[in-house]
Amino acid sequence: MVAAPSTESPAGTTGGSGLPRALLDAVRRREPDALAELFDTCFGRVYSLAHRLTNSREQAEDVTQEVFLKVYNAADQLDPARDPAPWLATITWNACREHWRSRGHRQDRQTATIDGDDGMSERLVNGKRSPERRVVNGERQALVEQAIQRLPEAMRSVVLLHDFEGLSHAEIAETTGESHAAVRKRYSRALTRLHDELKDVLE
Amino acid sequence: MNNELNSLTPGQERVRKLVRSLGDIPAEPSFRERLRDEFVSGDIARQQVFELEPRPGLFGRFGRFLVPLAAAVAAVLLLVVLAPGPYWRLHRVTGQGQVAVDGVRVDAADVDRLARLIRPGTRVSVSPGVTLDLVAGDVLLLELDNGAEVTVPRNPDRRPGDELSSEVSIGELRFQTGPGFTGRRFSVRTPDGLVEVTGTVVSVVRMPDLTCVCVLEGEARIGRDANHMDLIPAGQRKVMFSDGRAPMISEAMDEHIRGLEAFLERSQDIFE
Repeated sequence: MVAAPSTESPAGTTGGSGLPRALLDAVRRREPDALAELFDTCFGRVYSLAHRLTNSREQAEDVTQEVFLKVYNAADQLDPARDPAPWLATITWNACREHWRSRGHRQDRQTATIDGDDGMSERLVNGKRSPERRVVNGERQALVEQAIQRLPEAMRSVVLLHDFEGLSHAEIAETTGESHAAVRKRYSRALTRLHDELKDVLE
Repeated sequence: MNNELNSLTPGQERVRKLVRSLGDIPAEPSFRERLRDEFVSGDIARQQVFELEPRPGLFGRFGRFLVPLAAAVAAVLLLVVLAPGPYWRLHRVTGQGQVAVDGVRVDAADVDRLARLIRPGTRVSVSPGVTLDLVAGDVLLLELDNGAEVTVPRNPDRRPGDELSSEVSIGELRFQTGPGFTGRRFSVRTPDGLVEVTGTVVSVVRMPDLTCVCVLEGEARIGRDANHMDLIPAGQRKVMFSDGRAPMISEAMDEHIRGLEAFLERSQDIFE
């Protein structure tokens, strides 16, 4: 388990997730109301990270369930002075890594398609001419999601952990067991590759 | 964090903003509600305990079936252990040039003949510009590039702790372990040293006067012999020199990392 970084705030909350220390104290005691609030605050981030890392709804559900089981089991070890978000991101990444190593993931990956939405490709091509800004924004997001999915796993991880979860390169290095410099370089290469793929979107 | 941001180009900065603008991906409401209920009530942990703990009295009730069942399981395990493992097969040859198998030169386009000639223990060399991939089931993938000359390992078998080995005399050998590699070891010897892995993505570049080993994923033990090994993590490389100079450990070169990432991308669907 990787310790969450010190992100104390003077307002009695714990950094990025904004959870009050009093709530985390109650989570330590596994009080149902506190667990419910923690779940409601963190579920979306955990599930989204798992989904983007595995590119599979089924695996994202498996990973999310594993993460919350680990959170429940380790609740009494939670440090109420620290933001739990980096810790959650770390155990989500670790759970995804176990799935990547499994045969099932390899098989899934052989048949996974980047565009799971019928007709999305056509709409994306035509979308540039659409007058509906809302639609264009949605399609832009879809293109960004697809470009992220096309990244190799190692690059995808570092981009998502850094830009989606807010972990520093040093925290990512601690999570993945790599050097700080290696993470920083990979992040830079990943952004360059995304930039090349998203030139049309960025214009 | 500021240093991290200051080093970005304007293009990278724009991409970063796009990534950060992504919202959450919605989950199936039924899944979310079920997991929430289990988490809040503590059922999530109780279910795990129930699944892991054997029921009391199980051995007594079904004891008479256990001995034949255990014998059957042992027989199946024995069959699995004794059964032959996956064979090496030629997966892909790209580029124009020649491939030599134990000195027999074959045009790289003649894949049928190459597939017949390449066997465990044969020495395979590719001319510059030719890339050749060999795969053994879901265990190991080898890629010979940049004029590599490599000895094909023996076929993997089913024994726990199976050890495979290869030799690189010149050129670049990239390799990736697959899901079936678990519990095995793979070692690569060059004139300058030895590389040992238990699961990873690595390139071994042998030049006339040195061997450079780059690790993309996992870690590898690298040294001039088994008594002088260093554990090299992902993103690092170790260079061993033929003239006896002290080895050098540093960050992997971008060129080799890019080669390994491209290799990983090409091979992501190879394992059976």
